[in-house]
Amino acid sequence: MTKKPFLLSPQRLVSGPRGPRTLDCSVDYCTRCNACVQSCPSYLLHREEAFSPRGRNQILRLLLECKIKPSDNEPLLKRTFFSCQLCARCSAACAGELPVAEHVLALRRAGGWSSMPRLLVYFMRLYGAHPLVFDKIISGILLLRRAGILGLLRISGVLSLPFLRWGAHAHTILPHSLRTLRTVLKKQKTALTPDNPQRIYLPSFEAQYADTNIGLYTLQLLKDKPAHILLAQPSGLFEYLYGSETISLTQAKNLLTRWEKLSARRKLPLVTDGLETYLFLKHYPLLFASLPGWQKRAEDFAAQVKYITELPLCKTGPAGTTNAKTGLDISSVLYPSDTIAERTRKILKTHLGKNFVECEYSRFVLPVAGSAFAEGYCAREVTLENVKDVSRQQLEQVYCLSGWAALELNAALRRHYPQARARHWIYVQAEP
Amino acid sequence: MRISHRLLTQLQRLLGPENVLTDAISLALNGYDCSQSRHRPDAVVTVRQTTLLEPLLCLLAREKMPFVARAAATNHAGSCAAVQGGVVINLNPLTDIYRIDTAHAVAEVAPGTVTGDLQEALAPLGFFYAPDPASEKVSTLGGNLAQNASGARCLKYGNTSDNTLSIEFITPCGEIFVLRHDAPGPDWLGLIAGSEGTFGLIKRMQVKIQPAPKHIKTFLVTFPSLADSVQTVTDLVAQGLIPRCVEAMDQITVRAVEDFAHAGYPTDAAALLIIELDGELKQIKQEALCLERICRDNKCLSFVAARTEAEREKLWRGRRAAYSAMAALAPNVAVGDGTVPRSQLPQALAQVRHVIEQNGVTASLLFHAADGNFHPQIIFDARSPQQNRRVHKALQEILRTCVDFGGTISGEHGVGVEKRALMAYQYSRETLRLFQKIKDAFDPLHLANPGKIIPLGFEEKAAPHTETNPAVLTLAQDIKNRFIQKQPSVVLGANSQLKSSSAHRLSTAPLNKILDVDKTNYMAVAEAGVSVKQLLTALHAANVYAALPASYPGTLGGLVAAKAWAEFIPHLTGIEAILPNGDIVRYGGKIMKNAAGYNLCRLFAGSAGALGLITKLTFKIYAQPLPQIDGPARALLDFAPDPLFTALKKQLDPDGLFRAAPFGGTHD
Repeated sequence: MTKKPFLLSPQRLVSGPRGPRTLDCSVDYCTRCNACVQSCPSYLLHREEAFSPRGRNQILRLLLECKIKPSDNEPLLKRTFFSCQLCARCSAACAGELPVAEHVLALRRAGGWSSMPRLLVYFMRLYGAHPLVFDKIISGILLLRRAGILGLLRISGVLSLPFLRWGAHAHTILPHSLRTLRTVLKKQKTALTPDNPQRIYLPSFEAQYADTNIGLYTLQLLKDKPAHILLAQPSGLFEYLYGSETISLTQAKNLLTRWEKLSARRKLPLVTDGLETYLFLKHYPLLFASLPGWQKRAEDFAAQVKYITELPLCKTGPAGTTNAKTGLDISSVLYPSDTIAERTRKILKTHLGKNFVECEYSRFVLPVAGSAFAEGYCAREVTLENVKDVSRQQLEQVYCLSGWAALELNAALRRHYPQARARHWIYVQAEP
Repeated sequence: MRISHRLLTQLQRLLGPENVLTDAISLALNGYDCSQSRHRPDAVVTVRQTTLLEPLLCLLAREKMPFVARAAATNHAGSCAAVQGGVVINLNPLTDIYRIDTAHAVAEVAPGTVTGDLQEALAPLGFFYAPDPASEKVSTLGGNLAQNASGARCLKYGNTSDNTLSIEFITPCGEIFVLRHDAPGPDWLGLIAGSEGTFGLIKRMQVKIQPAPKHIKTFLVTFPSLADSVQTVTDLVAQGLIPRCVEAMDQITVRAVEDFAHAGYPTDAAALLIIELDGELKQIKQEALCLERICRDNKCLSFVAARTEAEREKLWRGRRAAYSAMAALAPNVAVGDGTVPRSQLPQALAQVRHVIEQNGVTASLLFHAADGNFHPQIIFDARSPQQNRRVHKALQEILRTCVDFGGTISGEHGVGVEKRALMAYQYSRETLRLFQKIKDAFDPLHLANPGKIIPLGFEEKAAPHTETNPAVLTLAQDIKNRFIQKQPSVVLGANSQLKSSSAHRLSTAPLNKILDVDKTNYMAVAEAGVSVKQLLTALHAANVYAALPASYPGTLGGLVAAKAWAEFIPHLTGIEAILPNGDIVRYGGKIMKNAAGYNLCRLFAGSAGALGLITKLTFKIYAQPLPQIDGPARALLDFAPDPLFTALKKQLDPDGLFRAAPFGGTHD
């Protein structure tokens, strides 16, 4: 098998908050001031320049200037660039708002390197392309799990095989009683396409397959106005991060077209429950920056994208009734989320009163968008750092704005600090 | 320099193979900082325990391998670029905060502790650490001390050196010393602060922490001219009103910042000040009234007080966004750093603007108005050699302007390799020779961060010292003759500390003039032989005060040389001295900050006349009496000269001609 050549083009466009720039120009905007370094989880773990955003930028610069050869340094390059969590906290700290996460992605794509197991990437492609087949496979796996077969495979060490390690991780973090959202909605006889919908709900992958309560509680929030539910409609984020950029763009185009069709000129708001999905959708105009025909449409679409914290809670109980000392996690990928975090803090403060610990409890971004399944990420280490922070602050619960973040943290808490639990923010809706 | 396989193996055995890197990427990534300098080391080692520092330096010394300590590498001077190769020591993992003792107002930390992390740890306890360099969220305490960084709060609370109580210091040979400012003998800690790692490594630090002020009030004041804004600051100091910080911008900068951050700054004013007061509410109210009166007397265009925390945050947003505003305009920003006497600031800034225009570069000008310290931020594209040349030329000319105005080429960023050549413009050949000897004493093999601070070929490039004071010239000639004839000297002031009837006495009695009481810069200049009592009488007559004890019987020079009143030493800003070989050296002046070169004020403080004869001192004066400036002066203690002193003495006075009893000399 021939090795894929390393193709890092200086003229490749990367999109950031200051608009699209060529890769070499974008990298050159790094003034090496190091303002980003303390916001980078992988740097905080390693404390070495190579694992800092500044270091990654400088490596790219060396590659672009042909001062180092990728082939001579592949192991270190992979270690450095796969340790990046793509959280983009460095961009928020940077005076020039450099899109370092995009730089990292550019290098990974240039090398044709993917940290995600190939099998998982192909499997996830089924989710968008053949949703019913995907559903059937998932249902089958759930059946095996319920019958204890997966547990047996794990104990016997089969799931420890390199190409199945992700299966073991999934088995660890997923709740015991799993159902798919499609099955539950079917049982509840909830119409996916109501007459005259006034909103569109795009459930995240985890709300559909990992923790269906996220989807169900979100639907409670949406019940005042009929909402069209878009099941098995990928946003393109997973492909953008781990797969093919082209497929990602196709998936994004599909979603955009579908929204336009469903909206029928009314520009219906599209609500989603995963912070990383929301931010990715909000940044569609950047994704389509090089396609002028699509950019205007993407801008119209992005303007209508809403995160669930923008909807009023329909809680029945009085405010401040939860006694648990609570923290908030705002882990995400690719884009920082200050506005959403601020709004959510306000809501939690109203509902939890003094029990809400009003601070960003951790510098370490939890693995989201499935990054814990990828090889080379410091997913385990950063999750443990989060657990340390939870225990240090003696928190009893942590609300996460991403379903994946909640699952990862909760699994780690169950093991290392069972006094606390982590849940998706939407569980506030279910508090007494 | 190529690193030997044997040394690499030994390093790997000591630190672990994963902590010794020699690959091309790691070498390139540890060869830069925030400046334009790039120099690859031969190896990079990461130290994860402070206990490994000592054996590491011993090993490197044995192999004669140069090393450069590197932490956050946020300096703008190329201070941690490995210009002569060698080993870069990554100190970033040493982040422990060992102890916070609020009862004794001390925190004990490892050198890699991020300044912002210490602040975060102190905040819940109601305490804070005073120095606040702009990079405090990422820079480390060890790095701050190595550069003697300061920040906006420097005027009221001092720089990193002033806020460091003690350090554990390792010399390039691996010897450990515990150093304090108030220990007998020269103030080694004060000398090491700002030495940019050229003397060795800091292993552990004890820093001063303070109760956080209960209230802070922020004001935005605009002026029709730069001169008015600077006069306002002078008047504030004259009134004894020391703000927490006084940050300033000129009109061009205000416009750039306002376009970018929309902080609500008026763009029609020639100068803008952000002034912050802190303390008790009642005191702040009184000070605010005084501040408003002074601002209005100086024709301020607007005087706005932040009423809420949100408003305060908004006022600061613009100042904080100044760098971002420039960074948004071009790929690279070169941040300069120069200091002039405060009274010279308007003229110096006008000249700097002229230089900027002449060189066709775009720059913002931010300044700490109270310190006379300013930072031009020049934007450019480093890919263009032409722009690179223009920016380099403009920066050089700006720094020369600072020196021409009686200032220094660095107020807080240090010299490193970027400003090294300009040291020959600022300092005389004799002073640079002294710097070299100090370096040789600490680091005879030139292993610690070699090639920094001291310019190459300074014997040819730097001008010789010119002295016009006949008394000093006579003394210098006398000392030179004694040096040639190998005759001993016992430096004496008023015989109050060091009693001697030696025939070889060298008296400072002819140096008995108070040269200047400058109420514009609030600095005084006096010769060393002036008695403290006489000096205080003259200062009181001029309605100013100094941090000197009224009951001290001796001379000013004697007080400093004996470190009889250690509290006075931080108030020194300039010194002139004659070395045992007759060379006259000069450091500092009427400048509030000086991060260029080794701090000679701290070297001669406590030297008891064994390293040279102090001839002239410049120090801060105040409009209001300072609290508790009196008490018993410390007597010169009999202590065995430590190895640092012995090494330095060997460099400066190899024949031991300058004799002082406390350091093992005799009065014969």
